[in-house]
Amino acid sequence: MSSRRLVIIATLLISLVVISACTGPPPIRGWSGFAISKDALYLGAMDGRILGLSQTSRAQNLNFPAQGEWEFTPKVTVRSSGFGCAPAPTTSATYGTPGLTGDLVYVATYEGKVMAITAQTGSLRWVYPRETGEYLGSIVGAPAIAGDTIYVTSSDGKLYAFDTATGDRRWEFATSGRIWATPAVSGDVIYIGNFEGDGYAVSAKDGRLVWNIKAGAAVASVSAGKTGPVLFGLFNNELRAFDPKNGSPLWQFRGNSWFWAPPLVSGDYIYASCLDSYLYAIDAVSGRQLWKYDAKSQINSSPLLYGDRLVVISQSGDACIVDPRNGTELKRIALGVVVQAPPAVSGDMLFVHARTQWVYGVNLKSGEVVWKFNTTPPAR
Amino acid sequence: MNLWNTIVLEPLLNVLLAMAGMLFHNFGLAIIVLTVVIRLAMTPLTNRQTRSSRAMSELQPKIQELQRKYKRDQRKLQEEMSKLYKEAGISPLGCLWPMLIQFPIWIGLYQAIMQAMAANPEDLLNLSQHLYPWGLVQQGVPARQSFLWLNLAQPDSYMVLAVLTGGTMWVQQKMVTPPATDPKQRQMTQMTTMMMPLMFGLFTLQFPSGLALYWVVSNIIGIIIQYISGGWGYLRTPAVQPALVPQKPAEKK
Repeated sequence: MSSRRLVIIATLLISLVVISACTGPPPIRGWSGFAISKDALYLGAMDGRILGLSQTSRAQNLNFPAQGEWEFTPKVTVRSSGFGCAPAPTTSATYGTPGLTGDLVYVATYEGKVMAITAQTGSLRWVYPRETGEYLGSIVGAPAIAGDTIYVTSSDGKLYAFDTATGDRRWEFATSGRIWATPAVSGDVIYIGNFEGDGYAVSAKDGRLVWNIKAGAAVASVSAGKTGPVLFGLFNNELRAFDPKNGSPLWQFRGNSWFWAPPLVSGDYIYASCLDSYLYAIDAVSGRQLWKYDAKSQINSSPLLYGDRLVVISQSGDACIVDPRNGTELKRIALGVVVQAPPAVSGDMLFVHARTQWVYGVNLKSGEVVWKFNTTPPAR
Repeated sequence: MNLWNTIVLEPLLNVLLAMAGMLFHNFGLAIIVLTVVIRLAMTPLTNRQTRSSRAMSELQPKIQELQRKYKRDQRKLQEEMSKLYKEAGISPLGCLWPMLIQFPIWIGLYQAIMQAMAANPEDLLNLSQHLYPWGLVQQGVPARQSFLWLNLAQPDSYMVLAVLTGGTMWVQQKMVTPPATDPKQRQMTQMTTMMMPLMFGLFTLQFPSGLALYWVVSNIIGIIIQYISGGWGYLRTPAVQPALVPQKPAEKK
């Protein structure tokens, strides 16, 4: 083989590898939902900042930040640098919906930090880990708050409990695999599931194991209502129900894809959105399907209650209002944007955080977009 | 892109995940087994490529002679070269097309490994769109990332894989690259033989170690195949074969 040809082939090979590597999947941006308090909306923007928005100011299209609005940029610790085309991460990402209690907004980031931010001003109250060089694993699930404790699951396989006021770590509970599902709190028990297919019930007070089970496959989501079964959405397309008292298996329900988001439990009904594009209504006692509604595109987030109706948003940006009695579509509002983040409902307003980094305020009664806001900061 | 996904990416991705499901959820083992299977399945193509390369290198002295002879008459040179190839029974593209056929499979396997590892939530959500409804595939998701001392979704911090990737690639290239007679060509060949392993070694420091594992295994299988078909090849040959270097006539005293 001539050396010229060798050089051509080598160049081709290197170019292909570099192109394949550098044009790979888009960088992580997160898909935070909203915490709502009266006029205020709190969310993690896709550029890593945490935002406090005023609905009134957004409806008036005032310059951001208007009165009562703020932005907070978490300090990013660069853990490692490398060679090649992929730069070291310089921003954090928020996947879990922020929590809210009293005057504090709680955010858990993919960088492995838990923060409490003052709701009024956006100033940092506390952050965990406290020391540089100490890391929690990446956090994907949302923080769950019960009383004066905030519970966070992590990719390091642990469930952590922190004091909401001070950020002091109260206890931790270790499992054998990564946890990406948001912990479900019901009464004084917390339910978690990991990628090794293990499900756990843990005492909210001291982190003591109540029971554990083999869920059947890796756990994508966990849900628990005030009454009824504990539900594990699995990566083998099943939704499995267990007795909250002792972890005995009750029933299982099969979809055509993953039950990625935690199902909504309402009385004797379970409303489970699935990546196969269907919203399923399931009898909580028997696990029997009552009806299913086709959203025409995968549903990444849990359904929401809107008065006596249900609202789901599909990945293709259709907000669908559904009759919970029979799954009839009452209204479909097409936003025409990709949505992966969970929406939120307050009064007649639906809030949507689109992949385009715009936030939409939609009136569910009229079906109109009342306001929209670009969360990307203007070039300075 | 959808056609590419349907024909190349998704079959490889699902087989990889099904293998992980079969091999006790061990994704590292699944990468090794699938790489070995694909590499073995493509052995005829690899052998053909090697044979063509060798034949071409054996013709080099004659080609150079023709180039010298007809350097002012390009048309004649082309005619004579074609005649030479015909007589030797080889095609100048013979060593290139088996490689071109293999390219989509290697690129597909690379993409499949990256997707199957689903290192972040976006990747995992995206993965759901490419899965077959096979029980084994569903059991293999999400891929378990720990294998030996490695986190397959992260670069190897001990740099063992970087050394292995560069080293095995160098050995494999050395085995199949004939020493050039022309000093200019020799320099370029040496540079290529060094540059590629060095670059891939550096990539390994940045890319997920699952991908580096695939490179190492692929190289090792390549070395074994080469060894079976032709021993250590040019690995044991000195960089410049004295017999091939044009000798100056001895000066008369």
